[in-house]
Amino acid sequence: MNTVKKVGGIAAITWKGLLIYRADAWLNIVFAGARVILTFLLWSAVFSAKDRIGDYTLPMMITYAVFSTQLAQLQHKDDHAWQLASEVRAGTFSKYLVHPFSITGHFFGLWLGAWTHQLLLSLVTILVWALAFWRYMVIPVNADLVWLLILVPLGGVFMMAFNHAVSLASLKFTEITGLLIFKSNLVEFFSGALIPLQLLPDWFERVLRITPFYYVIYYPVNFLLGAENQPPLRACLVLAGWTLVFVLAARYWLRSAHRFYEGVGI
Amino acid sequence: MQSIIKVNNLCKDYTFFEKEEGLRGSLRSLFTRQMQSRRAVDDFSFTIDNHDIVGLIGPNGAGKTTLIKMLTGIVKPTSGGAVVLGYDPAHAGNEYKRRFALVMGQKSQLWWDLPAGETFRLNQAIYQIEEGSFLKNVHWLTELFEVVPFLKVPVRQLSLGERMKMEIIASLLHDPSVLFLDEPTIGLDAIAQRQIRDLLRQVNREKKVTILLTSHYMKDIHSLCERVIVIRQGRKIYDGQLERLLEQYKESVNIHLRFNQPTQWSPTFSAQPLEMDAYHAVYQVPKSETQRFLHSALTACDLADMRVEEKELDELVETIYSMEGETE
Amino acid sequence: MKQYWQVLKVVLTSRISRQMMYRFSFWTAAFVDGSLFLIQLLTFNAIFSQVESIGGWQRGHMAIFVGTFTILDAFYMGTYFFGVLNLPEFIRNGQLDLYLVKPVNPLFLISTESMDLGSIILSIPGIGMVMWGAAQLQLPLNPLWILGYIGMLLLMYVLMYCLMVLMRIPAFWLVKLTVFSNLENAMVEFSYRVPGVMFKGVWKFILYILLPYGLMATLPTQILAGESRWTAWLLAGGVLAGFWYLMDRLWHQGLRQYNSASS
Repeated sequence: MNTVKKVGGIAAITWKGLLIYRADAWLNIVFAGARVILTFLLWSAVFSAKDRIGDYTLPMMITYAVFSTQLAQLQHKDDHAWQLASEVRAGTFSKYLVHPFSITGHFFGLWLGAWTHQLLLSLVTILVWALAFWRYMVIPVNADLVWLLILVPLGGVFMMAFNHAVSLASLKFTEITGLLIFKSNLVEFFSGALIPLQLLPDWFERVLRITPFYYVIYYPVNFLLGAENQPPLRACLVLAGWTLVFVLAARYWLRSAHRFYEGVGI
Repeated sequence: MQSIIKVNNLCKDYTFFEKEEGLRGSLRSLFTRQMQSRRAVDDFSFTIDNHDIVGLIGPNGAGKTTLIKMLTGIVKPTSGGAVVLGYDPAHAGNEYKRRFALVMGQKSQLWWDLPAGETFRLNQAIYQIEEGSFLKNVHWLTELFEVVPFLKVPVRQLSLGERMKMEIIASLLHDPSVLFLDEPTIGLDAIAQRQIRDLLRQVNREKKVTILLTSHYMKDIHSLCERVIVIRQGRKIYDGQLERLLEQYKESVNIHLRFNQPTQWSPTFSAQPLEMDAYHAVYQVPKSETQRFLHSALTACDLADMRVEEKELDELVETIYSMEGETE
Repeated sequence: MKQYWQVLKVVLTSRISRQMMYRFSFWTAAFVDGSLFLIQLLTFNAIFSQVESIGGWQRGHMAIFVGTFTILDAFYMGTYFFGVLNLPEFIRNGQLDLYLVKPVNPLFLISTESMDLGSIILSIPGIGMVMWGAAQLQLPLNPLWILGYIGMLLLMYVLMYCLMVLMRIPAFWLVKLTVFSNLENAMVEFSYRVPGVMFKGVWKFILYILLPYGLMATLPTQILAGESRWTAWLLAGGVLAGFWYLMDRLWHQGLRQYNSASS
């Protein structure tokens, strides 16, 4: 209970910090349209020569774009990983070592604040831009969509654990900017934030299915479109399994890498 | 002596917004905001002569850093003006920037991941320092600051004291005429603080650099500056000799008495007892009454020992900061 | 001028020694750039393998287009990208103070001091793609055409700089501005993928003049393919002059507004 309170406290402070910057919040909603419009222009040109690309029609592709860009904004929130890495480099990471609270718990709180804040922004953005582009979109509504309420948060928690584990590499290597960018590039691509994974070679898509990234963006959006035939329970289990792997890995690395930490700069 | 810093009625206003506490306040501030204006420096005037070391002291948020930022051209004054080395900092170009240096205790110009020598080389290129004079200065300063062994160590692995020495060296390589120091000893231990003070004194003496220094450590000010300017809430409240200022506030002393046998003694005049037990007592006594107090104590008590103690420097400054009105 | 060359030289050698110091990061930098190129290529291929031609452009054009953007990307990532990225943070935490008191253009110093020349290696596969595309289109290349292509690439390199700085100057007023970096990410990502010839009407006006990311790889491709003459130069020159002026004006306006974080 105490832990929940502490995490909640950290998340609440993160929220307050984010709310101070109101111009940023409003403008982000408006400018999120840039991606939607550019995607619309791109796919309209490609679809002018063909009716269907893979299993997708133009409205499906636009819907995919609107949802996947916002889901990407949400699930790729990795400020907590960058913060950890930069604090290790600057030496200020030491403060977490003397707090009576777990390091992972602290960064989970930071992530939770940023994630829920982004969730609200993303929902508003989707609403605004779906209204603007409703003529070009398609959403088959059915009861199964309730699964998204589990899938999306689970995807978020997995990404948090994954990013956290990666950021702990800074305890050993100190400067990991390159690694973090490399990770972001790969995750963006593997999760289907750039293009629907179906457009990639078949074997590649099959390999991605055993990785968790497949279920972070591509699967939920495809599920929403009714274009997914894998059961959602399986997706949840894959995500939960990989989350456990990275939580344990983070725990192990935190213990073993602690001895590399130099604590300079304070 | 020639004045090289002249400040006339300098003012600086900052604007900011107020936010109510709590999540509700944050949400509300998304829509409406109360803008406020605060005067950080108010009608400030003074002059500084060539080769002087002047201390600028005041409590947190008094406007010291803002004043230095205006003199270095970082922020522009709201009204009033200044002339430093014949330039108006608010409109001066690179020529002026080549003539002064700024060291900020809380901000570093050194490249964090590389040895300080790399930053020295960058400054050589930026300030266009000739190789001969660069090497001479690096040699002189690193010997003086005793940091030769650390020249090849990445900055991030230096101690705070070593790092600050490197900061000061980096800022002196181009032989500036004026050195602005904003809290250069912040966070340093007593030994490092003393070293930095000694070094600054030597640099001022040998390189004839005029220094304007802000510090919260009164020892810095006391050992370096004969003259101080006191600033409170943006206004100048004192400008003159440090000793004279301190004298004004040394209105009382603490007198410690130790007795040979249990004693209960009450002086008849205005001495405040601070501590008291059977064998020991401490009184705060007005300076003018010291002699009378000692005489009466010697007559009335069987004393084992007695000691007169002046107020600590920091205590005095605390009193000065909290006084109302001008001190001049 | 001499001063600027000397600053560049020192920054360059220092940056190289810094990267050597963090060996892990030194090697990951190569992976980062390589992976990014591979991902862009895969994405581009996944989209455009679906159709034979778009907006009158053949596969060869597309290869030149992607290759050109890769070269551009390599050069700006290798020189000013990481430096300009620091700008908002420096404004926010007052670190800008220390640049403002130096007798050198502060924007120049900030832009160059985080150079990462390793990224320039990425231009090699880019050049390869441009050559492959040119061969596909059987372009009768002569030195003058190639010179024109390089010249246009240079203009776009400077234009990209103006845009990058402009996206960060609002930090003087807004303090936090993820919106601009998000917008920039979207624009850069799409200018890797969407040739300007796809844009029509009002979109063309927006993406060629107002947010001229649409020009970046399109104009050099058109110059190399011999499809554009003086109009392209006029457009590039005009847009660049306008954005340079805007950047300069706003930067100075920002500096006037700059209060710097307390102490």
